[in-house]
Amino acid sequence: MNANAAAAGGLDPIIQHVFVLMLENRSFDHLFALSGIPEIVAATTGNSNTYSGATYAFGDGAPGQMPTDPGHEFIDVVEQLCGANAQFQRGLPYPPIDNSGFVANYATTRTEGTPPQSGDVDDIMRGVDARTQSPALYKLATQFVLCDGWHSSLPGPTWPNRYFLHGGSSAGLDHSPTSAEMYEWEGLDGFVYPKGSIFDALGKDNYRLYQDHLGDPLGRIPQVASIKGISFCDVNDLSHFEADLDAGYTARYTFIEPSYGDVVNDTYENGSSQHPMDGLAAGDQLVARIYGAIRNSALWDKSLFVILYDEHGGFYDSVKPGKAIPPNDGAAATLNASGFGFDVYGVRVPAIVVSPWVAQGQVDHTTYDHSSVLATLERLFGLQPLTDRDRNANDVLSLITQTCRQDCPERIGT
Amino acid sequence: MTRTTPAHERDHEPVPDPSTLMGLLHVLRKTHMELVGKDAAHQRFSQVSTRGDARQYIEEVMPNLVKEREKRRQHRHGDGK
Repeated sequence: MNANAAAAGGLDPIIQHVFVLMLENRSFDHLFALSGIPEIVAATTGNSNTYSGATYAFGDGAPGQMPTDPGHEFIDVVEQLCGANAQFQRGLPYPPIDNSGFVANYATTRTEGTPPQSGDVDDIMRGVDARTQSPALYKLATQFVLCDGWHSSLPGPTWPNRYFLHGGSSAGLDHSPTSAEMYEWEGLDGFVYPKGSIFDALGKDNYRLYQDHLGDPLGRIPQVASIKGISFCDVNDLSHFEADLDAGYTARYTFIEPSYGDVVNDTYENGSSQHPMDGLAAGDQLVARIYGAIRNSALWDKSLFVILYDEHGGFYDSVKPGKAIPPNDGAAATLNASGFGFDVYGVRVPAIVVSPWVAQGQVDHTTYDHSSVLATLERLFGLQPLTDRDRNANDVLSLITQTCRQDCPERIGT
Repeated sequence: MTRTTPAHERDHEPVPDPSTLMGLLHVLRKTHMELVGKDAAHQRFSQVSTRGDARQYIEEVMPNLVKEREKRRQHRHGDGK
């Protein structure tokens, strides 16, 4: 579909407001494999990893909070996807992927701190019961469209994956940025995309940013404010959201961040991001609050709400990430510590597309990554692509039907 | 700021680099510079080396940023919301 095809096809009068919530660190299989939702491509007990002579099958019983934070830096994900001790070699293709090293990596990596007790290493292979542990998400997944082919944009951590959502590139960043690197950005007024961000493309009047106002105050610092041109002061407190929607809301795109909980002690507790060290409940309630606000506003019939996870957080997933289109945006090699070519997607993550204009209970197998949000916005609102990644990304507009449903729940959750 | 987190036994540990904490501290520093200028913001940020320092920094800087954010919001919307 070319840049203006959707607009020409008449979707822009239907969908006038796109909302995106990006949560933290869960793989698709971890969250939905055991959901019982028909037709999903998901892990079974036949999927396993071997570590230190023992076999660990995928199964149920994921703890409410992980005992330790699973690794998810670039070097961790290489091992998770390509097997114990696998390493990426600069200048060579990404090693063959067989999703066999999740347990080995969880048992040994120290990138997020101390590894778990040996008896806990199989937690990385366990899924949750979404129906009971994240009921709002489960409700939306069954009432709207659950995507089981959505991948993080690169096999790496939070920051570069979030940057891909905002700009179809991480400007070469393949790791969590260091203090020295962030000092370098200061002279540029923040993180810079060679081809600009979606916020640059839309212009100030056409987007709004929010962050959840509940939870530990230590975790109410929005990552999006690291980008050039975005200030902490541009990110609204989510307590205003419901009233804003009913007060002449004109923003085409709204991006919402959760709160991150206790980031000082790396426990992430009392946040709403669904970080593995925290739990699912507060994030689930955040999803329900946002849905309720949009659903009961005058914008509902013109809205599209996408719920995403930035990356898999080290959790097992059974689907092998495929080849990806590099951004080809002229980014300098400065931030690319590994020499990665950005030509492989990251691990699969959950994604739910919510709108009265999508079918009830559909499972969508299309391959997406975070730049699919950009592709959707660009084709909906007639914007040019930012990089080759979003230019070639699948959008979610094919999910839009010709019928505005009248059976969507008015409230979910408690 | 509706609640503060109690002091923790890890307060003496250095802020890991890189880490989520370090990244988000730099986000605060970036906006703090807007409010107080580069030199003052740098001087304050340079005093952060441990997790305890980071907690103190967030609890000191955030209320000012939140106040400024609400001020700008009122200016933008002109509705006091």
